[in-house]
Amino acid sequence: MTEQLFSQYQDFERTDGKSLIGPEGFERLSTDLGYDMSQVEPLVLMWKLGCTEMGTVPYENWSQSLTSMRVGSLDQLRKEIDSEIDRLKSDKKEYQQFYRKMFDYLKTGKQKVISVDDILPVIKGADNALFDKFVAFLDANSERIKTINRDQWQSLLELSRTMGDSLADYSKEDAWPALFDDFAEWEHSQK
Amino acid sequence: EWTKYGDSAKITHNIFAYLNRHWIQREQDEGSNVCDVSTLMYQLWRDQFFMSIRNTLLDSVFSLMTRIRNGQVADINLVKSVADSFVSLGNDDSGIASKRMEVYEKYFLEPFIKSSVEYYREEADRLLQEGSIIDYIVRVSSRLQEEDDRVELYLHESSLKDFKDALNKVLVTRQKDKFYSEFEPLLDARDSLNLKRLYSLVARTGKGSALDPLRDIFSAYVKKAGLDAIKQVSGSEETGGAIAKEARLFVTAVLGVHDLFAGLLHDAFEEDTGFSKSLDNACKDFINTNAMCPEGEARAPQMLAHYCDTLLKKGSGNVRKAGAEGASDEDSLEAQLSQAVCVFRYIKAVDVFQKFYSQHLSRRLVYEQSVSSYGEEMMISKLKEISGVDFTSKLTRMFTDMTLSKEMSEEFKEKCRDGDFAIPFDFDMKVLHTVSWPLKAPDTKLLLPSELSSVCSRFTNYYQNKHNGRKLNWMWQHSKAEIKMFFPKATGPAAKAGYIFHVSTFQLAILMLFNDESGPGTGYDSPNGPTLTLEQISQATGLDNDMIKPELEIFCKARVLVSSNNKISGDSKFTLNANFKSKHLRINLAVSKKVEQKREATDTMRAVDVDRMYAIQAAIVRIMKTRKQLSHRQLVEDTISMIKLFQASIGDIKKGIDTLIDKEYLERSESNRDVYNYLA
Repeated sequence: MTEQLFSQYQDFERTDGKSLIGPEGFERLSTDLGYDMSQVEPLVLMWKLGCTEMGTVPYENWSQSLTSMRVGSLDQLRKEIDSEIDRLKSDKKEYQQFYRKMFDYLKTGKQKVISVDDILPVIKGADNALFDKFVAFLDANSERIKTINRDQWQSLLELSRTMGDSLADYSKEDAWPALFDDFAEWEHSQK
Repeated sequence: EWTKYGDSAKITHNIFAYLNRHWIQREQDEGSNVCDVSTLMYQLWRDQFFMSIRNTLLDSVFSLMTRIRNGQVADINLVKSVADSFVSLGNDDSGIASKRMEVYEKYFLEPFIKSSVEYYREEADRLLQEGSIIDYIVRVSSRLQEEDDRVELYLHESSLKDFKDALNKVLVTRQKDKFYSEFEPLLDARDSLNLKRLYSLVARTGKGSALDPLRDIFSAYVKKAGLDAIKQVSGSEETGGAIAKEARLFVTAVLGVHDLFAGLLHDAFEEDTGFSKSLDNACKDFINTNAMCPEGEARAPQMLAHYCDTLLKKGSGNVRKAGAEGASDEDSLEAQLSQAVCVFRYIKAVDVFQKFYSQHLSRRLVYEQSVSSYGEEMMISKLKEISGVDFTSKLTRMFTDMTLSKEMSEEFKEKCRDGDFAIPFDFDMKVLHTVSWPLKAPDTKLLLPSELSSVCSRFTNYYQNKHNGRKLNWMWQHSKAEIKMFFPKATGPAAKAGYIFHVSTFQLAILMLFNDESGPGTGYDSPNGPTLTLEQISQATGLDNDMIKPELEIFCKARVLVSSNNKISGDSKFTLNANFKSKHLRINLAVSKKVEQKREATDTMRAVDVDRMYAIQAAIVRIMKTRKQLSHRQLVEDTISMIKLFQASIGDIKKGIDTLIDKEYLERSESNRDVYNYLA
C-alpha cells in the first residue's frame, strides 16, 4: 500500500533505490489531501513525512514515516496530519521541533540564511502576537534586513515564549541576537 | 622642690643600696610585695603629698600654657618637669609598663588635653567671627605649627598622637564643611599658597577620606575647566577650517588646562596620589568628549595624530617656542613631543590614534618630509614606552624599508651602469612591505609614458630576480615627479633653465602628452605642441575622466594649459599655454585636495571599524576557547576587559557573538540560552 501510494507521486522510477517524491509530486499529494499550498498544513506534512528539503521525500523516509504513523491510505494520512496540527497547538516541545525544522525547509540549497520574503507567510500564519509585531518590523525595515539566519529564527520562538506579547521587559544586556535589539527599539518607538 | 626630692630620693636609694641589692631583691624574687627604696620613696610622695596638691599643680601648669600660647614669656621647662614627675610617679612596684603611665595619663594628660582644647576652641570661634575663612586657615595653620614644634618640649612622647588628634578635631574637623566650600573659590583664584594651607590642614585629619570631598571637587573642576577651554577654542574656528590648525588649537587648549592643574597638584597638593588620580580621570573625561569631539566619533585621537604630524613634518608651519637659553631645536622638539605623548596617555580610542599616526608617518617617509629623523625615533620610543611593542614594531619596519630601499636604489643604479643602460632621468624608488604600511595598492590603471615604463619594468625585473616569488605593485597615486618645462615664449632665466614643476604621476602622464615629440599620434598642429581633447587624454593615459578632470582644472588654473572653451568638458580642446609666466621657477602642482583628505579620514575610520570587529571576534574566541562555556554577561565583561586598545561596546560585542554563532565557533546552550558553548 505504501509503495503504491508512493509510486503515485514519485518523481520518476529509479533503479538505484534512491527514488523520491519531488516538489511537484508533493504538491499533488498535498492538494489530494485537501491542503492549500500557501497554508501551514503542507509544512506539517513535510515534517511528518521526514522531508529532507522543501517538498522532497526519499522513499525510505516515506515508508518509515507512514509505518510509524500507522497510516496506509490518504484518508488516514490526512487524519494523522490534522491531529498533529492540533497537537502542535498545545505541545510546546513538539512545536519547537517543528518550528526549527521549518528553517531547513524554508532555506534554499546550501545557503545558511532564509530570505525574509520566504519567512513572512509562515510566521504570519502562526497566530502569535509577537510574531505579528516582528513581521511589521521586518516590513518597516525591508530595505535593510533581507535575510534571517538560523540563530535568529530559533531565538525568535524563544523570544515570544519569554517576552509574551510585548518587548517591554527586553534588555539589550541579555543574550539575544543583535537583530532583536533593533526590533525592541523599533517596538518601543511604536507606542 | 620636686627636683630636690628626686635627688634626695636618689641618694637615699643609694644609701640603702646594700639593702636594695640583697634583701629586697630576694623578696622580689619570692614575689612578695616589696619594692626597692627608690620606688618606695616615690610611692610615699605620691600618696602623701601629690594627691592633695595635684589640682593646684595642674592649674598652674595650665595658666603657664596659656601664657606661652598667648606669646608671653614663660618657662616651658617647668611644664616638662611636671610632666616627667607625673610619669615617674607611675612607677609601680609591680613594674608593669602599661600601668606606669597610668598616673601620667589620668592625672596629667587628660586634663592637659582638655584645657588645650578649650583654649583653642575659644580662639577658633573668635577667629571665625572676626575674619574670613582664609584668615582662619592662615592663623590656625601657624598655631598648629607652633604646637607641633613645641609639643615635645612639654609632653611625654607617647602622648603626641593623642594631643595632635585632639587639636585637629577642634581646629580642623569642626570646620571642615567651611573648608570644603572655600576650596572652589581658591581654585578659581588659582591661589596655590592658600590651597596648600587648606590641603595641609585637612590632611592633618587623615589623608584618606577627609580629603576625598576635596578630590571630587577638584576632579569636577578640572573637567569643567577643560570642557570650557575647548569650547572657547572651538568657537573661534570656522567649520571646515584646516585640520592642522584645528588640531593645534585643540592640543594647545588641552595642554593649557592640564599643565595648569598639574602645577597646582605639585605646588598645593604635594603630588597627592588621590588628587593625581582625580586629575587623570578628569582629563580622560574632557579630552575624549567635548565641544570639538562628539561622543563616539574619536576625533580626539585623530586630532592628536595630526598634531604630531605637524610637529614632525617639514614646512607645516610649526613654530617652535623659543626655549630656554641654550635649548637646541632638538630639545624643544623633544619637549613638544613629550607634551603630545602626555595627552596621548588620556586617549581612550588608542587604535584610532595608531592608525592615523601610521598613516601620517607613512606619508612623511614616502615623500621625505620628516623634519628630523632623531625626532621620529624619539617619538617612537616614547610611544613604545606606553603602548608596547606591537604597535611600534610596524612603525619601525617602515623605517627599515626606507633604509633598505636606499641600498637597493644604489644597487639598481650600479647594475644599470654595468649593463650600459642609461636611466634617462633621476630615478628613485622605495619598496614598501605591504603588511607594515597602511597604503593600499592603486585601483586605477595607468599607461606610463615610454621613458618611465622602460625604467620601471627594468626595476621590476631586477627586484623579482633578487627576491624570487615577491610581487611588486607600483603605487602611482603616491609617486611624484619633478619635470622641467620649457615654454616656447618664455623669457629671462625661465627661457634658459625652464620651469620646474612638482607633479604627481598622473599629472606627469597627462603633461607628457603635450610634449611635442611625443604627442599621441595626432602629430602636433600648432607651434605649442599637440591639442588634445579629454577623450584623447583618457585613451592615451588609460585614466578615466573622473581622474583627469580635476588635474586639468589644476593645470588650467595654474595657466599651464589652456582650454579652448574655458571649461573642462567633452568638447574642450587643451593646449600648452605658450605665454606661461610665473615669478617662481619652482611650482608645486601636486597639492592634495581637501575632498581627498576628508575621504581619507573616512576611509581610515572605516578601516578602524573593520579592525575592531576582528579584534572583538578574536577576543571572544580566545576567551571561549579557554573557558569552554560561559554566560552571556560574563563573556561580555571579559571581552571588554581583554581589549585594551579601545572600549568595545556591548552592541558590537553582540554582533561579534552573532557572527561567531553563524560561523559555528559558538553555539547557544540548549538548556540555558543565556550560556554559550565553545565549538571546537
